[in-house]
Amino acid sequence: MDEEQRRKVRRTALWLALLAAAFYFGFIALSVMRAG
Amino acid sequence: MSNAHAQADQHAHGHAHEGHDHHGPEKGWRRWVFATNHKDIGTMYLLFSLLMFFVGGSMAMIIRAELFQPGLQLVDPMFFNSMTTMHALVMIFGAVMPAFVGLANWMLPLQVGAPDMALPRMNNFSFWILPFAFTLLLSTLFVPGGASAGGWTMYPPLALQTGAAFPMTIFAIHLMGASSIMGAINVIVTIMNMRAPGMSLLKMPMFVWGWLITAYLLIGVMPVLAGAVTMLLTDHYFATTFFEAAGGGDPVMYQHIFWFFGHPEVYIMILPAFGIVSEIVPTFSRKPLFGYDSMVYAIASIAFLSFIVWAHHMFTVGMPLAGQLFFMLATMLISVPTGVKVFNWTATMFKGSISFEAPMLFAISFLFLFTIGGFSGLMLAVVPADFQYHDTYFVVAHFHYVLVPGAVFAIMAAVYYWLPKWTGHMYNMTLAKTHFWLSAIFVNVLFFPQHFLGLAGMPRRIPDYNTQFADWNMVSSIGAFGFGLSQLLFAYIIFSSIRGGAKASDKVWDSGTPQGLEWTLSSPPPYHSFETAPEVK
Repeated sequence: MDEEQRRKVRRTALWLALLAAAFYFGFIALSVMRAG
Repeated sequence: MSNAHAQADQHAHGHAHEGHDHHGPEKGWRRWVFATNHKDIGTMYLLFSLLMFFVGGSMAMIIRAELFQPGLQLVDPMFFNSMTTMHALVMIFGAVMPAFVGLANWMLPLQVGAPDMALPRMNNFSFWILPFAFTLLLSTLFVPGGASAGGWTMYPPLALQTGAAFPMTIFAIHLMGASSIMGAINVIVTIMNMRAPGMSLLKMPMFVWGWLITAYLLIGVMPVLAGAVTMLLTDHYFATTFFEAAGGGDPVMYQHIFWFFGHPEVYIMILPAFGIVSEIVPTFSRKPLFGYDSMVYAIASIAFLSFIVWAHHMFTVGMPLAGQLFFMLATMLISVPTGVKVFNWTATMFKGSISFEAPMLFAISFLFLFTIGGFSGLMLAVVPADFQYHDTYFVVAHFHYVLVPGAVFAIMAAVYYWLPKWTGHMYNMTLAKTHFWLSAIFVNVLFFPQHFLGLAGMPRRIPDYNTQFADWNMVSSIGAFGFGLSQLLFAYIIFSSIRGGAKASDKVWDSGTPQGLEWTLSSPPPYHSFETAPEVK
């Protein structure tokens, strides 16, 4: 894998991890707000 | 398989000139524990899933043995409830999902012309989490209070009454979720960044499309499950009251959050199956797939719609009418793209030159039997009807039709389709067809009567039942014992093929015209394949 491809792989993986984290914390935050 | 890989790799040595050192696989246990090769990791996922299929299947045998006759004969009722709970968790998270991930690991790099998955070390970690997670989950059977027994959906407040098994189960689910999320990231990154030059998105094989879309669903919803069970954990141990009415919370909110995960989850368990069927039917019809573009749009539509139908699992909780109507109509809408797919598979076969090898038998039976499951799903979507069907065996019949002769048959079709490629040996086709016929007959004996039981009013999740339900329960249990025994033949066929057999050609299905880069490689493929990207026209 060349450097450019490595960079793209890392960037895509990080964005997807961020998306997963957003769903996780987002739903917990939603539940906290509804409880209030 | 290990020797075949090593031999194939030595064969490849003479041909590949990459300018860096080639090495065969590591020797012994290190090869597997430190595996980064997608073929090895795929093999481990598939073998793990086969083991879990038998573990979950044994639990089903216990369930059906108890339900063979009315009365409590064999097990404690609490243990029965643990069996129904654990059967579902093991089958969903241990058998079906890892099987699809195993197929993805083996086939996606081969089908897109990539040398491996994008993140091989994360791939290894994703796999090795699972044996640990399932050891933890299954060990809850032996703790005080027994395993979780409130259903795989873990609704509070009942789930919060689980004993020592509770934190272990929650942790196991977190681990399985993390494994799935990392696997999904790997799949998307591989498909989006490592396709061979010339392979545009709309030239990708359907199995790749199925997995690309499934991976997005996984990333969206597995974290939601993790959030839901995290909140269950904090409610139990840290005095939060997310789901406790006395503290201002709402147990129904758990159901909303759970099913926001749960509905896309069932599509996660079927979209790769759609991809598999879209690979197999054209090969054995000797015709290209009918309506490739519409198949892609149909899968994408199904995935999108799967996010907006979750409350059809909870029509009886006291939802406002507007909510019930919305979820009913959105659910019925899913049958449109699904119908497009069933039509296209049928149209692919129309005027084709069809042969009925084992993969095709499983794929065709998928078409009929998954459609039956779809019809009962459509019945369940109708709100006033669902008030009658909810929490009865009609629901059990529905989801087992879409999951067993649906997802599981597609997995078996895929194994029979690609096993000669993986091992280099053709299996005994007569035995495979025997396995098919036994499975197809017994699966219907097992699950079709459950429609009648549900319509007659038999509730779900009960260890004993009214005598009016006795006859069909006995028939269903006989089907279960037959189906369970038939799967031993599947295991025998797989292990025989690994150990030896007639040599498989590169194309394997010589009488067919299989499309796809995997058929350009030897059977078995070299340990490292496509180190130089192939040209895709």
